[in-house]
Amino acid sequence: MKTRSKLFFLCLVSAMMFSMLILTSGGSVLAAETVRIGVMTPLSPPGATLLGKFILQGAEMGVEYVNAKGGVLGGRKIELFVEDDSGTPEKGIAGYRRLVSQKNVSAIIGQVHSSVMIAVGDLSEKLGVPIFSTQASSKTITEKHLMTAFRTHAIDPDRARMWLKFIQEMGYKRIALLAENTDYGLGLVDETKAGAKKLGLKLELKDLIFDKKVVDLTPQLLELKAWKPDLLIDIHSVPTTAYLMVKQAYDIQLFPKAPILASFDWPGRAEFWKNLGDKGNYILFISYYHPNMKLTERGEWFKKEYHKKYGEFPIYAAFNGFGQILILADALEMAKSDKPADLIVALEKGEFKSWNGTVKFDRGEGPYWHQWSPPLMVLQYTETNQSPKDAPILYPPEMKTGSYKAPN
Amino acid sequence: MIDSLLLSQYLIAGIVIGIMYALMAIGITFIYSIMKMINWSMGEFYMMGSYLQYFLVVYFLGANLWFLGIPLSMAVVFVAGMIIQRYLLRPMFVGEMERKDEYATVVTVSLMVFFRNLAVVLAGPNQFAPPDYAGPTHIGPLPVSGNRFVALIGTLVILGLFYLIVKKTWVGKALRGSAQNRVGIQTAGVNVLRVDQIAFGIGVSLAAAAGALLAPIFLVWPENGAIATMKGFEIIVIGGLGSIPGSLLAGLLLGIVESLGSILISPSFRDVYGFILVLGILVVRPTGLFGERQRVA
Amino acid sequence: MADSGIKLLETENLTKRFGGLTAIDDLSLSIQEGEIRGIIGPNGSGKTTLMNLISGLYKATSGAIYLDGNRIDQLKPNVRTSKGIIRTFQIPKVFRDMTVLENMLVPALSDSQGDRYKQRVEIVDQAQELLQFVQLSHMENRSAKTLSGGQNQLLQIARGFMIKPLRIYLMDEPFAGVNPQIKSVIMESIKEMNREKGITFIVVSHEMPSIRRLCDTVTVIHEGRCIAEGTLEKVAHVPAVIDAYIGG
Repeated sequence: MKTRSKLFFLCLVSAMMFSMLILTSGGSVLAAETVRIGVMTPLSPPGATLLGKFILQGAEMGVEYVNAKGGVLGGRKIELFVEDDSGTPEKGIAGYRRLVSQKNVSAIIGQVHSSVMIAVGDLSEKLGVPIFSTQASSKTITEKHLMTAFRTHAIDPDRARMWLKFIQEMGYKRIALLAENTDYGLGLVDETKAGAKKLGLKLELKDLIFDKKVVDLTPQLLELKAWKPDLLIDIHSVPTTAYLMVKQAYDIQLFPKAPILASFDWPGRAEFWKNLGDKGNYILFISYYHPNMKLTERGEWFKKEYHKKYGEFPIYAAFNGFGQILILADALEMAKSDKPADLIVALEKGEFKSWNGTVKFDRGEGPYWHQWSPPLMVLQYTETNQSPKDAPILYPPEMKTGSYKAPN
Repeated sequence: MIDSLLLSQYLIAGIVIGIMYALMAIGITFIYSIMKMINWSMGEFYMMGSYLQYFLVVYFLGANLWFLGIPLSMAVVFVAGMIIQRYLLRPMFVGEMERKDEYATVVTVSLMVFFRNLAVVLAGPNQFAPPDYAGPTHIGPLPVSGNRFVALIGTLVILGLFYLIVKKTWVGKALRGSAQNRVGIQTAGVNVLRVDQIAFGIGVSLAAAAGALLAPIFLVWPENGAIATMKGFEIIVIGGLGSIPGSLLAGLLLGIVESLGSILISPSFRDVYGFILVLGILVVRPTGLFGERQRVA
Repeated sequence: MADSGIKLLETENLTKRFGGLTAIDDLSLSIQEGEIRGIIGPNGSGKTTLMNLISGLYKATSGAIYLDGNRIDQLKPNVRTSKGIIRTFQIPKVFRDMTVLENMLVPALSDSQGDRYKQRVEIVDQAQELLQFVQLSHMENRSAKTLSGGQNQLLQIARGFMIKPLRIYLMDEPFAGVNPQIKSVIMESIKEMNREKGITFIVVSHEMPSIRRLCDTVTVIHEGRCIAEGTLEKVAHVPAVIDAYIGG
């Protein structure tokens, strides 16, 4: 016991001395050294460990890509430093501090949980090293207009914008919003109403708000059926009760005569067909990735190499981890410096090629500050038991692989 | 504003869901009337019924023999209930135990947690759905799924059988006797502990019937009993604890109030209408519509 | 009234305490087969507690109870009933939501009663006969909750006669709050059942005239102890009894 604690103490002291050495030695000594980037992501429960794992894999391949092409800032290689935030804000804060003060990183990517990202964002503003949301979607993160917080993931208002454009293209007029009484549901109803006005769409909107726990929505659906909507947008935040809604809508013969659009990609889960069978066919849903979507050259490279390495195609989280490393590499080149402050200037000014398009971080309004939203799309199942990869993309036009298929 | 067709659709939808709520409430009130204890794990017996039905239909019986799954699920849960009663609940009735209510609450709440976790361990947190029982149909002007129609008819059949057993058989007489006068039945030579065991088995098998009948409608997952339990208890407050006709009527009432309330006022507070009804009843008749005040001896 | 001299029921140093209160205190009692024993005593003397101990609703703190020389004090109430110990309560324990006839059929549910499915007709016949015996036949199909207190007392007593074997019938205040006509019906039934079928009775009552007409031997209980035993005339002159009743 005693020797062990002595050993621990010794390690601690040497670690402190080592980090002091790095801090005091300054940039010049490290000039020929690597450029350091942190990945802080959930790698243990209660965090979403699966997402964390994919993001890390993506980031590692991003580093391979950049280093193979000669690195950045005149031949310096990128080196990754990994921290596990477990999806908890306390560990996130500690991890951020470690990466900044001990590892001396220039930027940190990999954030998944909004709660962690919000806590770390405030700290990053003090310590000055930029942090990236890779898959944390709360709009609060970018609404605070922090100099150091960036995001390349979709936020809720994007969904409303997406379906409004889809509605416009399809020429729908009577739109029913069936939304749960949470920030997610009510927020999207407001965004939809405001967005319709802004786009000058003459829509008849009818919203029905329901309690999140309700399992039987038959009365509400009956009312909607009598109202005869052109499109029913379903805003559930958990799939469990959303499946029931589809079933009930089918049973009273509302769906699929009136199309239902799901606000996120829960119909993409394997459970969907198991629970609904035939009744789920023709559903529309919003997604930000499709296995057959068109990618940039960099994206295609990643997809191919990832498949070679792991024997499976990457999912969205891996793509985004990869893309953020590339964005940082480009920004470093632009800044001609690995100092966080210079990097932020470059990030705000530049345009960067990622896996799914050209990324920009404008000082936009509201949540669109340092926010780049990936292209969203509307998918539709056109056959029972269809795999999401075979579901045609209905919108946007540049990705379109099929048209809306009405039931016979 | 609202045309009569729509109104009648809401009414029918309310009645359909109300009768199913009632099945759950009758199970709770039946056990209470005999054992004078509340079974807080009722929803988990509902959950058990739904899982059994799912596995029986998917792995053994096949989609066409789903109706055999319902009595089988009920039978399995009946036996499970008897065993649980024998080893976990009976001890509180043997000897002169104090704080019976606390004991029963602790045991049944623990069972609730245990069974939910057991379901997660055995079958995972995912949802399952058995194949549909029947094709879509109409009740009057309301298009309903075959599943709902089957559940409605099934519930009526089960309630009918339950009525016959309680009213017409010797076992039913023992059950009624125990409910009406626990001391009287013992001094008439009846083993009241065995009556308790049968009552518990029957009560939980009613919950299992609800779970099995509603499996394709509300799906099968570890916590699907929670809502059924909540509705069950609301009904009991409305109808009066210990009254079976009260539970039936209150179930219908709750179904209709929820259905109409969510349309005529606002759907976001659907659960609130039930609670408003509960509070209203508590103010006007604290013992519920059919509940009796404590009898003297 | 054949006193056979055979001991049917005995209690031996029977004691029941509720916390600090001793309700039955070292009570030893012996009832002969065929006897009609009266038990009297002031309010709160422990008479009903004694009934509860014998019928098994209470467990004794110490001491023993024997039926035919076999210990029965560990048996559950329903088992004692099937061994022939039947009782009534001061406030009749009837099944309020059943009809009078249905009430009579409840004892057939007891395990000792043979095949109730095969014998249903006989059981119903017997029930109707007994209802006639206590003059309740005309109310056979009425719900028990519509009966008067006295009629329910009659129903309770008649229901007890449905049980076989019936060795000893404990009646707790059968005459309390009952009109004279019903009182005489109860009295006659006790006498007749004792005479014709040799059933042993223990009757707890405050009604001295009824006790005098029914019982040869009375036991006086005070503060859980037996303070006198013998004919009513004899015990009435025991000083302890006079003290107990006058408020010693």
